[in-house]
Amino acid sequence: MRSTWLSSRAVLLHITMTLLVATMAGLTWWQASRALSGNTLSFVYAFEWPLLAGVVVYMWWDLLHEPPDRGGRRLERSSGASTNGAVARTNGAGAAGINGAAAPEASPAVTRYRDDEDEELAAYNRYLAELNASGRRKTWRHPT
Amino acid sequence: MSGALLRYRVMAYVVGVGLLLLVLIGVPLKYAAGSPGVVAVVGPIHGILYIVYLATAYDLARRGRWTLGQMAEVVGAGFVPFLAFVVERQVTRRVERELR
Repeated sequence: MRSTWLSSRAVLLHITMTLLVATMAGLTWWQASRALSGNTLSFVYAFEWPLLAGVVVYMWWDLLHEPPDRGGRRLERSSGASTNGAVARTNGAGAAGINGAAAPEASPAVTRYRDDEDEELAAYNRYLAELNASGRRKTWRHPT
Repeated sequence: MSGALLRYRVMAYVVGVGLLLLVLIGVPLKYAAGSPGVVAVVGPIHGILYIVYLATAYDLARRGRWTLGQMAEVVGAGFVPFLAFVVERQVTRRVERELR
């Protein structure tokens, strides 16, 4: 369970949530004090800020506990036609780690990472490159 | 997914128009003409609708891969005038491309 609460992503979520909720608590306090001194508009805002803070807490909890990488994968799989596009992106994004070979320029038809690879190995390397690209893309999602 | 996109788009337009009402009509009326009526009505309603908008945007975002920058744009659309319409177009185009 360590990664649920203590991963760097989780800690970033804790900090963001704490800052936002603290700010909204302050704004609630400010609006409540104005409401008590007779400002009817502030009376409504004094209830809206806690509501917004509730939404933030919900998002924080949801992002902490979501299953790894739900949704994103499905989207990428469903866009099968753009597979070559995904591989082409990979070459820019650091596919060099695969087999220790530097990635050559992508040709739109077939992408090869080594000169001596056969068709099956080429397909597998393309698959690895795609996984690499989808894993490294910078998102706020739970990492795979 | 298309339902989530539609909900988000409706709320983006509602919040975008509401914010324009508030900033272009309500605030000048209150502080220049001294009549706070529009702000008193539109202000709280916009507040509630913004929370609903945020919920629909989050619902849409968690179904795909959104970057932090894209999330920030969506959040900012609620309090930067006119931004809601720009962001709505970008988001719709991107989500529809991902769906294809």
